[in-house]
Amino acid sequence: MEIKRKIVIFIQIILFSQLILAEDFSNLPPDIRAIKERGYIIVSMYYKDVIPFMFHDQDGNFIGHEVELAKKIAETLGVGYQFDRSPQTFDEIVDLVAEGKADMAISLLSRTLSRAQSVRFTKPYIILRPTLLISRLAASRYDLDPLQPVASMSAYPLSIAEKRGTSYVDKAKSLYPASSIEEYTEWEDAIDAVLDINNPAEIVIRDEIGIKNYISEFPEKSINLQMIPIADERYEDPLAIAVNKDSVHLQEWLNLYFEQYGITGTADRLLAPYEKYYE
Amino acid sequence: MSEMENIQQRPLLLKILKSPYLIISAMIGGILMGVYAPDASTIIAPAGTIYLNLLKMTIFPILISAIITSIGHVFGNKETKIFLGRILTYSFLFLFIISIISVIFPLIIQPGSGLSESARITLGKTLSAADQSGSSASYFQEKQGFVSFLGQMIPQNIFDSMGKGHSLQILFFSILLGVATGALRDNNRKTLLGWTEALFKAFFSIIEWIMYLLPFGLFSLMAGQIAKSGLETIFAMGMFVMVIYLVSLVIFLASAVIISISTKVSFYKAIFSLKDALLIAFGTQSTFASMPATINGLSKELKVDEELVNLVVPLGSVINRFSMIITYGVATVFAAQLYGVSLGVADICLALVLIVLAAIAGAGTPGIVSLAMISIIFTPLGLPSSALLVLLLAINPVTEPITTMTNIYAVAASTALIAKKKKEPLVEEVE
Repeated sequence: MEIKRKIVIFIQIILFSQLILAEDFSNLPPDIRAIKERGYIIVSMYYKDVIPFMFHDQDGNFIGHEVELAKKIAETLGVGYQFDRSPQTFDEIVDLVAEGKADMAISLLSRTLSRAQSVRFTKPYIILRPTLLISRLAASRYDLDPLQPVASMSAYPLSIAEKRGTSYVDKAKSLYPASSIEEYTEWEDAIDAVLDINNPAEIVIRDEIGIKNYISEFPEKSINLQMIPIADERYEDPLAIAVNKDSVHLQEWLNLYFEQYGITGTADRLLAPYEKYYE
Repeated sequence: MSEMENIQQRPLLLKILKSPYLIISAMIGGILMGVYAPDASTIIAPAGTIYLNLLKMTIFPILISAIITSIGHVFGNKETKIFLGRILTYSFLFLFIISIISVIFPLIIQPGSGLSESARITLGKTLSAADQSGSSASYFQEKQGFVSFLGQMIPQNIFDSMGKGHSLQILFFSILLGVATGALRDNNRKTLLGWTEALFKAFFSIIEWIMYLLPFGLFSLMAGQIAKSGLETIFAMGMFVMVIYLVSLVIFLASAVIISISTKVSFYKAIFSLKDALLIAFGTQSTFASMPATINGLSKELKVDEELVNLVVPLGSVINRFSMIITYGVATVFAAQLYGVSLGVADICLALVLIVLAAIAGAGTPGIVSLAMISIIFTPLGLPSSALLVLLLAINPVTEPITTMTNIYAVAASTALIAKKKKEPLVEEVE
């Protein structure tokens, strides 16, 4: 009896110490196991600083909504983190994940159908609303209903400027079917086209943060440009985390994580703590 | 008559309270307090509002009884048509001339061109803040048209109109009742007019009493206003504000000359006789609140025909919104310069007509609603009205005192001019 009991305790100790010391992840699904064995999670992120998502404050600390979200996820998973900021386009952010070079992409990434062909998307963690930037002179030509300015313009053949290859080209087409859309390489060029009196472009449609950042950087341009938020669920821009096509479990885990921590919200609520960095 | 006797018998304290020096000192004190102690000013601001309410309390009864009495008397007379025609002619003449002055000065001075970088940044920030809060949209909710303007003029229920303060409806009703009273048989007419005249005088006495508190009221009103105004935007719009003051000053001086010639008094007396009305207008930014003092100054001090004053001043206070004309005129040219829209001669002529129309369409509405009437002018000219409305609202606390003061003085000038042209007394029944 005595010996038998000692053996049981001995086996228990061995089993337990193995758990603690050797960290056997063999029971975990492969996608989580790979991260755990590496000891840190690799996050694919856009190379440019974008307030309030990922940026450096005055003291050089790397902060922002996306950065904090990645850190919290790593902490909850019990691993470290590493940011891969090599991607220079949004497609490159996705590519990094699709090729398995990063575990997830947290980088103000819109859930588009073309991207979803190569990666898995979690549920959205921020819902961005599109905002319409209209030349105030152009706005005065249309009989805008102050309560429904967006809808009241749909009857007119507008000329819209958009950044090439963004989801907003499709959104603009669907919102104003009668209008013509001119595509530009950069957002700044599209907005400059609206500001140029000799150019026919009247409107730019972009996500609310992009517009807000632009107006914060060039406040004097609000004299000529009016912001009109588009409050229509169909045109909302949900930002989500992208994971590799094989990371089924990580995707599930992230969705559960969002649910339990009540992560998802509107831009106003989630980005309010970063308001001060606009100054 | 009784008022004149009172003046000689007034005790010293009451004399001091009505002294213009005390009133002006109180206003300056209020402004200083608003600048240097904004928190304390916000606390005493409600006292100013209470005083303003006290002044406005009797305005509609005074307006109604004055109009009924004067129209009732006038319509017993044969020269009525010429007389009313003259009021209309001079009203339009004044509206157009003031509109021209308000457009010419900004065209010369160009307050909207060459704004400094920092001014542009401040204006941009003011506008984007308004875009984000959606505050400007709410003022444009009611679509304006001529038919809806007519519709707004005719009350469904006159007591409801009085309750809601629809001055244009009240005016329409009072004129109609005045005409009906004038058409009554002699006995009935005299009885009813005796009543309205007595009511008018009684309400006037209340105003007289309230006037003793004017220094205190103005002190707290000014302090509260300055404390809450957005000084940054006002500085950024500095040139605009200056042009408004310049245009107002020109119209003010021209009005003083007209009053001085029409009533054959000195230039100084033309201004000083209406000091109460002018100070109330400046301090309360309410043409209505200063209406009784204007009536008093014109008929008692300047000896303008009382009957005519009682008719033209209430009418002019509602319909001739010279303060709005000044604001619209300067704002239109300013906006064109700010947005690089060149105005040709035809555009300017169109603007002059639209400015007068917008002022008439806004008659009887509170200041903020009538500012929103700039869309009547701006839309045909292709200028952005919602942006300018935001800026006008921001500078309104600084420009409204001077425009209201000029407004009431120009109304007084038009009254004096109409009275001068009235060679023989039109109303013979009145003793």
